[in-house]
Amino acid sequence: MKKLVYLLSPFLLIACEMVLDIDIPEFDPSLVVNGVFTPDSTFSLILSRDFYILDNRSDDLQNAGVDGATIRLYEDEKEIGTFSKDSIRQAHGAGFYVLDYHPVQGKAYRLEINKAGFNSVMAMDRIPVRTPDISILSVDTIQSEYEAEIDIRLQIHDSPGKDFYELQMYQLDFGLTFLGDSVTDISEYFTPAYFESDNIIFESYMWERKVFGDALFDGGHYEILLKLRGVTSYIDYLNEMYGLELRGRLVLEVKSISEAYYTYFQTAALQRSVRGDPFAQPVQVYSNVENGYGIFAGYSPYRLEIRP
Amino acid sequence: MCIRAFSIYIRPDLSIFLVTLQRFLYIYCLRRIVITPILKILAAFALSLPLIGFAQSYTISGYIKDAESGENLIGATIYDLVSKEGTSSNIYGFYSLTLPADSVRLRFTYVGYEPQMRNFYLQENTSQNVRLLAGNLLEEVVVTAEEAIENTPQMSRMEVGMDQVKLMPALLGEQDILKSIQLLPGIQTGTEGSSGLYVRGGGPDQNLILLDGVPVYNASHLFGFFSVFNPDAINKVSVMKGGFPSRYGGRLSSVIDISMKEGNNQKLTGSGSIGIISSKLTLEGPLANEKTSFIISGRRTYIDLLARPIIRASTQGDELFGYYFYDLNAKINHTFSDHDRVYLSVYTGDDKSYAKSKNDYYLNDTKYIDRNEFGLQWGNIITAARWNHLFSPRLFSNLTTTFSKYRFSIFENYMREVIGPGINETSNEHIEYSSGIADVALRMDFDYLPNPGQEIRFGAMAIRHRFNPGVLAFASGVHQDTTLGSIPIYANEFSAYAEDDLTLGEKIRINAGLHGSLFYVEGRMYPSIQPRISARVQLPGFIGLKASYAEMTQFIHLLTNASIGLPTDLWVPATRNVLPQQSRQWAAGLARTYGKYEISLEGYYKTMQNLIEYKDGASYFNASGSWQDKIVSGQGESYGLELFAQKKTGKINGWVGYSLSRTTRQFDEINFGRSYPYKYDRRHDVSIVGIFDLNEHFQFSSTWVYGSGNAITMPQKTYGMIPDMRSPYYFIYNNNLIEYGGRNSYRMRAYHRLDLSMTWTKEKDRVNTSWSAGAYNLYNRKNPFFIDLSYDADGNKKFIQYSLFPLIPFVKYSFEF
Repeated sequence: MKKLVYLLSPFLLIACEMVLDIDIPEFDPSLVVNGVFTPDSTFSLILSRDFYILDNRSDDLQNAGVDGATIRLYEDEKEIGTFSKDSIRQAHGAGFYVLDYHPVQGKAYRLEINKAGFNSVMAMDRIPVRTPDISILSVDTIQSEYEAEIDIRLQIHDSPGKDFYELQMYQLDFGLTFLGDSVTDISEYFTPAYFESDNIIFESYMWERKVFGDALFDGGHYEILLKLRGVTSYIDYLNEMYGLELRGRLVLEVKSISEAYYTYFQTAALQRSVRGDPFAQPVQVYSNVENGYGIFAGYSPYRLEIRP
Repeated sequence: MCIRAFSIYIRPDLSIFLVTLQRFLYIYCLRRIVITPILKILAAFALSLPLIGFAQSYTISGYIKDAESGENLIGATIYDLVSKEGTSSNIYGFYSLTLPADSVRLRFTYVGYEPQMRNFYLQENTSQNVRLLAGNLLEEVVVTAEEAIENTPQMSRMEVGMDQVKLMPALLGEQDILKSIQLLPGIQTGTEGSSGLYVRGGGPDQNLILLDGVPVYNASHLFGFFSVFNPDAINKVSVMKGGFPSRYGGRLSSVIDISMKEGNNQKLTGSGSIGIISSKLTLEGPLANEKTSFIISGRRTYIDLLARPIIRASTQGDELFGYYFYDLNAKINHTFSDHDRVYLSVYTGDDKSYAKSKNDYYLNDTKYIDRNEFGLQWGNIITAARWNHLFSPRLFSNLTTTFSKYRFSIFENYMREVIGPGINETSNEHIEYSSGIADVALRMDFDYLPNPGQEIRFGAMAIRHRFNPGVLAFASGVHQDTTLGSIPIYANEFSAYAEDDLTLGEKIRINAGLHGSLFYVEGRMYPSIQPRISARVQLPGFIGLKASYAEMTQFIHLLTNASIGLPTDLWVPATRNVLPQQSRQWAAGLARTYGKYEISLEGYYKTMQNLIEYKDGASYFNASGSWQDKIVSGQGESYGLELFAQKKTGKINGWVGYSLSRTTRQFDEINFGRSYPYKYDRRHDVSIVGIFDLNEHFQFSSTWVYGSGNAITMPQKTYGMIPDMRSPYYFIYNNNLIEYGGRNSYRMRAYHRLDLSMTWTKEKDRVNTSWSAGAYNLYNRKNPFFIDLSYDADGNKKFIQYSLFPLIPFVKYSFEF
């Protein structure tokens, strides 16, 4: 909008900007929940706080974590237990909580959080009862002059009813330990892999992840083509440089996600993508946390390792 | 006897049609609208009335014109002092009054003109053309109604006198019709300085702006700061906010009916002005004889011309940029006889902003010549040809054919020429984004006046639309030409209407009718039947109690996501997936004249369906994909109270308008489906207009406006988002989200402003001259235009409010000859 004024100003000659400070009443702080749960893991979440928009701390959320909260978990309205501080992750800052309990598909989980100085918050969700049904149709490596492209063609077999999915690829990376010029140890870890796809179902994309709904293929089969470029380049370099025989691997992860998870991710991605655009209406981010913000949601994953 | 008398003028089959039509109108309205038993009784009574003239009745008809210029006087009053019957002239100055054979004493009056009397014995159909002399009664040339406000059944209608528009203070001295209309209650401006109209909670696309009966799609110059209507070429403006008569259709919220002048048929005259940003010149006069006259009026800004030498000098001629707009109105009319007249009118206007640069240089004995041009251009072309024909003194007809086109484009041209040893190459690239709409229409209207207490109007219209909603085109000497974006859409629109204005005794007057329309697009048909009814009951104490109901359907939408009237807005049609807009409006009110004061109080409730908005986050300039994939559909609601008090005569005259209203929108995909305030929901809106005639040479005028702050979406909080909640690493980064607290949940500061103008007129033998001077925003109120989040010098975050127009003085010189 400011650019628009600058655009108009020379035409009007006299148009000018008058700068005035305006105040917006400060709001009470609220709690922010970031927690997802899945059957193969115990509960964990991150609790933080929001900041008034004019608070300079809002530019850096490193110190937003909130410790000392009482977080109770209910399964189908039966109390399961209370979260405790995550002793492993607390080194990274405040706000990490865990509860040693595995969630079950189809059951409703509700959080109640109390912390002095904040309004109590509540959030509820459940893990979708269906795990994604995926078939890999083909994996092709196309070698060009500069890099290799890996094309993965997969098919989703959807069940009738409203379903939501998240798709993400991981690639195997290696960490090398040297003694002089010799490699003494090789560690393996997976990192998110960037991929491209022209499929129209992908409505939003953020941090190498795509979420989508089944509105266009409800109860049917849907084919997706993923293209990954350059994922083996670094491995080829290591093999050539150090005479190694490392081999790359990929992991495809498709999650059945709840509608709350989908809506939160969708709106958050959209808000971030249009920020700064004077011609776009600001996007409000969905939250299923009553009296607070963030997301508490379940998912059911399907994972498959692919060796290109 | 009645039938025989009637059949002199109307064919029997037509009279049967009219009778059937009238009965159908009442029966249909009774079924569609919940009316009280009293109204049912009144309607039944109306059905039992004889529909056609009186025994031994004759018709007096003719045209009422200005004696000096021959200009039509629209809404002049004709009143018989003997029978106490009267009527008023239509937009062509035509009137018809059927009275019993007897002595008549006709009085012809028009505000600002000296009345005229005609006395004669009525024993046959009589033609009485009247020319009224303008009196030195400038104080009476103010906002006027055609007749006393408590007498007309029409609600929510006002007229703005052009003489008053010319006296009112204006931004940079550019008097503007639409900005004068914004001073009426129930009509709000958008952002600072904009000429956009927001009527009773409606959007800027919901106003049917007619220039000589032709719809104008983009009525803005200079990004909405000025309207396209040159006041020097305009004769009359009427505004309707509700209670729409059936003859109007196609928009939900208002009708702005603007009539161009016909041209002086007595002598060649002219007028003009030189202002800060533009100059105008108007010529009008007879051609050959009194039967033919013309008017031509032009206006152009000249900032670009003044700045051009400075820019050239400062850039050594390598760069040039500027902006201008112009408009041209022309009209010619010819009177073949009292029964036949033809009119041809045209409007054309363009805005253009441009920047050009050149760069010539040598490299290794090779000369490179680069030329670049960037531009932004939009404009309207509007033409109309009409034929007035009088079938009989009681049946007036008008046949109109029109063409209207609006086009917007952003373009960039790049040319490179390389000249060197063995090389002589030229390459060109052109990129253009364009959108527009073009209409061709044919319309037939009839105006039938069977007796003094009744006026029947009916007609039909057909429009062929061509919509071009956003196309991006590339052309290059190297690559193949490419076109992206939406494909043109063609649509056909048909409509027909009938309405009856009926007086039942002295107390009750009803205007009821139907407007039917049909829109055919992409193989889909959208039919619509829209009942309209307005009624007035005279209460004791000369208080007029009025009520109205109107259903409206609009087959086109304006896709807009900027707060000012940008020309980039897209006009798009209803399609297979996008339904037509619809509204229902109920209104009721009281009106009364107290001496020189007219006071009206109206309340309204309006619902709107199938409104469209861009989806959250939709990117306007992304030409990929259809516009239909970027929108959502929802509904709106508005209700309010409007008070209007005006003084029409005296040395001090003017008006006070106040609106108390609430307007909301609801879209399933916006604000999580919750209802939210409309951007221009304005709880309180006040306008005060005062004109003071010190003497015949000096006039002062002033306006003061106040409006509650606009509703905007403001960031309120920020919080973290953890993209992978199983990894702590992301948490420490600024993956922050912003909480806005709901769409349009924050109110900007209230808007208020005082404008002042004074005019000094000097009359000479041949040329009358006047100087106008004044100020816009006299007390330099810093009204909010937009708010931005920024940092101060100490690095602290701040909200900064930007204002557009400070105190702006103006001066203007005008002349008439």
